[in-house]
Amino acid sequence: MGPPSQRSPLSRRRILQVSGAAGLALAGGSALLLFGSDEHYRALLPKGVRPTVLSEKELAVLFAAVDRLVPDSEGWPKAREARIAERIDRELSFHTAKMHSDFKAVLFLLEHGGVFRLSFTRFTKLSAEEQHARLAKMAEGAGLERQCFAALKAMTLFFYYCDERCWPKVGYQGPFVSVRAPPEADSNPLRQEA
Amino acid sequence: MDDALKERVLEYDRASRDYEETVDACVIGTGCGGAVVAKELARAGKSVLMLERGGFYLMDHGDFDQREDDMMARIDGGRGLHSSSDGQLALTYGNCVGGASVHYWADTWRTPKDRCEKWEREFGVEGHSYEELVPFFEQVERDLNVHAAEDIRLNRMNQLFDLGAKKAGYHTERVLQARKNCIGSGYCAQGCAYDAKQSQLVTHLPVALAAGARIFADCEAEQILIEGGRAIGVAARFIDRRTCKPSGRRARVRSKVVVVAAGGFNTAPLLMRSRMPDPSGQLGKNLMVNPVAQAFALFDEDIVMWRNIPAGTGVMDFRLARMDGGRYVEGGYLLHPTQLAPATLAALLPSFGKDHRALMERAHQIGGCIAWVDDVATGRATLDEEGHPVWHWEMAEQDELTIRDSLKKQATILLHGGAKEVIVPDAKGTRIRDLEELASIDRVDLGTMMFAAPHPSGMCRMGKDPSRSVVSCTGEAHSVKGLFVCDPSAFPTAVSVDPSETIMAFSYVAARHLLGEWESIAKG
Repeated sequence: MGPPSQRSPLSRRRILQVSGAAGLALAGGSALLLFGSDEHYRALLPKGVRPTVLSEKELAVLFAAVDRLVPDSEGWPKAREARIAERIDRELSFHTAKMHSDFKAVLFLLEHGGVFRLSFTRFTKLSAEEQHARLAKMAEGAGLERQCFAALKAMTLFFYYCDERCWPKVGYQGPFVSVRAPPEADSNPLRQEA
Repeated sequence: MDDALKERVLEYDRASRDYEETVDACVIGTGCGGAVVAKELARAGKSVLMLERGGFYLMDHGDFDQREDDMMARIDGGRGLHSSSDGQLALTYGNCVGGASVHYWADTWRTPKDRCEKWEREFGVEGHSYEELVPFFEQVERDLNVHAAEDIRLNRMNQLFDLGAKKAGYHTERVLQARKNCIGSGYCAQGCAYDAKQSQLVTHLPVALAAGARIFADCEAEQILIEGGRAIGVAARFIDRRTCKPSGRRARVRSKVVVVAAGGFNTAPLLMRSRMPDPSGQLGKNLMVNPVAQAFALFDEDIVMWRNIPAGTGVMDFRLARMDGGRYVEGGYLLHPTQLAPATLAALLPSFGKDHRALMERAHQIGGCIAWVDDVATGRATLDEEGHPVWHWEMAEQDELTIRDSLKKQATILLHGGAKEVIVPDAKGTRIRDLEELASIDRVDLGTMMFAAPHPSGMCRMGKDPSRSVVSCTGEAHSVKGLFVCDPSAFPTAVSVDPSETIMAFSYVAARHLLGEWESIAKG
């Protein structure tokens, strides 16, 4: 009875409930603390950005992924202007601890998962072209890998195209009602700071 | 909604203490199943308290702002983010007063006669034959203003679907709609800002409230209280809508009857968490979901699929799978045009980066079809260490064949309708530009596609035999007196069409039984 809507594409976010993922999640949460220097990750974050649920390192990986998923095109808002990575991080705060660990595991796999392809360079150390290629491989990779990719992609693109600045570009005139009524639990950092 | 009725709904911000309530009936869930039972019991003079996990949102409060992100967070279960354990299914269910009816497409179908017969034949379901349900169908259709979609309600995608299907030799039919004074805004899935969609929020719930029922919104049922083999009430907690976490306030309801209508995904987990005896071993099993397979298409004209109603037309002739000596031939789904708003479309289209951007620049020229697949696979639910449900579902071989066949039929309709290119949302973004290329669908890796799961059923299967079913033909649990299931969990299988009317009809049957046998049921 629900809309067939495919309206929950983001739900791939919980994908790491798949077997073995819980262990990966636990390992991932700590491994991100172990691998790579604080300075490397901090340098990837925009100045002044503070994570909500994720660690600084995890948020930095998320920023890097979002930058690849959303291209820079003239006239379109940049992913960083739309605050997509921060929004995903905030959205997590409205979900369970299990979902937090699942998503952290997604980021761990993205950052360190190259080892499964005998590529030992972390995602955040790759060039933009290499990052694109790594994501493309994940998209068509084995179950867990492609599920991680699907989760990241769906969340990123959903929130990006919820940004009103995108609407004229896709031929969408926006809502008919003039009232804006964000939910009480609102993950949009732009709106919260407006 | 009338202010006096609104006062009968307690929300988290007014729940300033713990509550001890004693009522005749505690109804968990305010969707199609719960609303009907609550209305019927309240009108018969019973004291009724409904518990709803989600919030209370109204048109006249300006809550329906038509923004995809706001409304997904507000009215969808898991803020739209719940999936099956392997990520293949996106679970679509409601989390608000009115339940899934607030976000559904308003397609309204009677239970197909063959499905009633199957349930009677294979599961011993009595009292739910098509003929016995007809009076309730008629009641629902009157109350929800059910009518065939008018010409004016067909957007360009619906028109091209109709054209393409007819060119392909498929018979199309108008889909019955539960609407009144629809303006065709296209925001059905975000919750109707005009009260035109005849959801429970604007139909049965106001009647229930006017008859004396109350609702605790933002109130999550944690456990059914069971004592001496009968349900005696419900333990619940309020959720702070600002944080989505427990507020610290609780409700303890003592009742003569407990009606669980928490929806096809959540009723069984609640009963499992409540340690309901399950001698049949079927509780939490037999999950069917009507997975939604879809294909997109690029046209060289404006489609703007996000306006007007979603599915005013469809091909129904393939509803039942055609088999030949046990071998799948074709069918097993309904075909409709699809409707997605831009951000959801973006999340579902294949590719990323510049390729994806190129597609989105033509979003207004993208249309598509969906197939509601009558799945044969059966999933199940388990509880994690914190008692949260985990849903498991794996595609069966016949489902795979059905989905591929549906994608071919969708591509056929879209190409005949003028599509320049059909886009399958697999990881490769398979493209089909000509009918000659339909065979490429056989090579699509279905494991890289995501399927919405909008119509869960089966995890509290109804039947006469307590060794094979969870609830009896009255909806009462075989193993717990005074505990009724009134939602699609009780269906023995999926309905093969939108289940809302079936849910309401089944709830009428349960309500009539409850009222007819009230003294013996209430006193145990």
